[in-house]
Amino acid sequence: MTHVARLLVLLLALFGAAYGHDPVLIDAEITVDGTRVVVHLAMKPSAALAGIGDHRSQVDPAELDSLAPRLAAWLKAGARLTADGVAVPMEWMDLEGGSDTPLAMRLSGALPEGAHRLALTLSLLRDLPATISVIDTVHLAGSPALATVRDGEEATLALDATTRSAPTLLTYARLGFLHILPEGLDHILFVLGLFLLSPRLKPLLWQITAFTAAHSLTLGLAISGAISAPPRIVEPLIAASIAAVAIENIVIGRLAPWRWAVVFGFGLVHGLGFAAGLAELRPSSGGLAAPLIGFNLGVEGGQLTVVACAAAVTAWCRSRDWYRPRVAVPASAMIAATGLFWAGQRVLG
Amino acid sequence: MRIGPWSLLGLVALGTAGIGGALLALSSRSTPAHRPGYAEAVRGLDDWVDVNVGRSRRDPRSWLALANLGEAYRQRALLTGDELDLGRAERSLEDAFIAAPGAAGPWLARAKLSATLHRWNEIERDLAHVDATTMVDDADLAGAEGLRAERAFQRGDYARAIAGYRRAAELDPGPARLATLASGLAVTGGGTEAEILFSRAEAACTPADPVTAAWVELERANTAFELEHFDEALTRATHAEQLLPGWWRARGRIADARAALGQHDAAITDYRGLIARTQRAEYMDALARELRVAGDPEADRWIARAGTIYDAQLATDPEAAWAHAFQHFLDFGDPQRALDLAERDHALRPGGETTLRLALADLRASRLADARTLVDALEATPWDVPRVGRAARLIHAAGGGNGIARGDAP
Repeated sequence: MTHVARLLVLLLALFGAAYGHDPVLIDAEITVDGTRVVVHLAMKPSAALAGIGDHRSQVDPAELDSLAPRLAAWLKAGARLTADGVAVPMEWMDLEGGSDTPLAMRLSGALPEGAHRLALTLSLLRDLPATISVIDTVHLAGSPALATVRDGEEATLALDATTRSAPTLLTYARLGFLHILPEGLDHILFVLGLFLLSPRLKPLLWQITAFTAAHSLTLGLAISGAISAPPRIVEPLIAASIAAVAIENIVIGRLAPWRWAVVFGFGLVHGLGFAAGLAELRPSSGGLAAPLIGFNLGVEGGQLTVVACAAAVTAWCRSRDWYRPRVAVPASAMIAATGLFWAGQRVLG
Repeated sequence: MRIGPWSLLGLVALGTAGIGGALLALSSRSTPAHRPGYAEAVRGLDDWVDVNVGRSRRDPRSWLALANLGEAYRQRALLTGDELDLGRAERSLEDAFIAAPGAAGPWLARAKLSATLHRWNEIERDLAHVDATTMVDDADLAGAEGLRAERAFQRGDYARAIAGYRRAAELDPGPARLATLASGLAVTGGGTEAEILFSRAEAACTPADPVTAAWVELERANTAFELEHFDEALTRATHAEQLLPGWWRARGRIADARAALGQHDAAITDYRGLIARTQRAEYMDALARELRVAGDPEADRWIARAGTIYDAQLATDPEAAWAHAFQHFLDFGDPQRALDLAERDHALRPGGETTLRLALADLRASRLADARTLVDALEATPWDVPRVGRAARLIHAAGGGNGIARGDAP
């Protein structure tokens, strides 16, 4: 017994507080976007751990990755979604939370065209002592209706226009834009790194075009499932690419012949990073064109906004002799330092 | 390749920042900040549970291993409030009794669990077995005394309860037993001695044991809250949280005190956080009360949610649910159902708290004569908290009577 536990034994034996067998609560929120349905499940860490035969009470967020496969298998076995009586196969998406905050996990599946009624049955905690009851609350995002059932019972919810919104090109474009501004600080710094090399518009547009062509390629391949790369590899590489471009700005100081290839290569890496952002709205089958085009348009819009802002801020000094030594080089140094820091941080932890 | 002075300066800055960043990243990885608090305490109990799970698996016929496992689960439940652990504790103790030979078994552990679950009628049977056991140390005897005292308190036998708390504190004079005695005295007319005992309990706490120190401080906060010294309750609960950072129970009392002091926005924020962490229905009710004060219709959603939880809890473990469920139905639901719950709870433990609830339920159900009889009887007991006086005034005013309640006396 640990020191802490020993102290607690002495203390807690005296606690006068009384408790009941509160039910275990599992919250399920269903989001429907066109042909895709996402089930968000939230519960106490101890409940999720109990589901996979772990008797601990809390989860260290650092171990979520290692727990994910077991939690995914448990949820896929215990969560059954049907649309108009037809089973919807569910795929694991992700999880977050931990410590003593609720664990939030997501499953997704393909929704048949024209489905009117969804039914979710969660049979997740069947092996608990008989004195513990498990309550599932199920609701559709965008709808006030809430179904409350005991675990193992079916919660049925009607789909209507307010809960069923098909994503449009604009939806994906908005997602792509937000992925740059304000959410994509690393991508912003990369674009600023490209901008700082040369104040002239033409080289900048060439670089942006090379970057766009590259990330569109890998984004498409990743979204279609042809390639995949884990975030543990992609994210440090993205950070390293930021540092590399900024260092080249300082050391070389001009548009070297290999710059296009370098930017294209880094674009390939960034495309894999964008894929994670698009996964949230990825349609289950077919129809990849709209998400890809829309998302890329949004990304380009975000990048061009960054360039426009940078151009506006530096308009008064870009043609000065001291622009490079007093603006481009120090700014590149800061970008490089940030990139290196992120690279180290993402590799180590 | 030529590097000018500005570029050189840039490279130096880059190198410095890069090295600094890397060192920072490495240092934050290799020497994580030591933050003793609630999470660490729970980890300690996780480890303890883990050890006992291992022992009981290695020797599934050992009732001692199963009893220790049950106690480990119960201890963790007391800190975390996790309903799963109470069920596991119950099952482990049942398994221990099945494995135990003859009259052996975890009698005291089961009595403690029964107290935790408000099953007061089941305690004495197990304590009788503890009394009959020859191998009992002072800590166990103090545990048995403490449980009997608590049972007496719940039944309204305050003299016997205080005497029992005293005996327990003599057998095991630690800070927690002193604080328990002090809190009992504070609400039964022994305020002066209670202050002295609370101070002694605090002085007996050590920095090495933040859980005990936080618990003693929270007990003082609870007592101050019960006596409606809300500023003091807030101060002490805040201190308890500082002693054990992250302890949800301390945050719960902070929220209650803020609500009582009219700090509604802060209380709403606290209750939302507590619901996210604990999913406890009483915090949903508390949030709903605050939202109603603010005229926010979101209150209805939380009331419905809490009602669902109470329905499930009443179906599986009624004794433990009666108190909180009563308040829910009294404030938001069917008065007749509140009255039914209050009657059942009062029959199980006819102490001041349940008598007050029953009187209020009678009032709500327009049974004024019964309410007046109960509250008059309550005013004659040593249980002396401001709620009694206010309830008496309310009941007598509703009945059109001229009785002078204790709280009205000069």
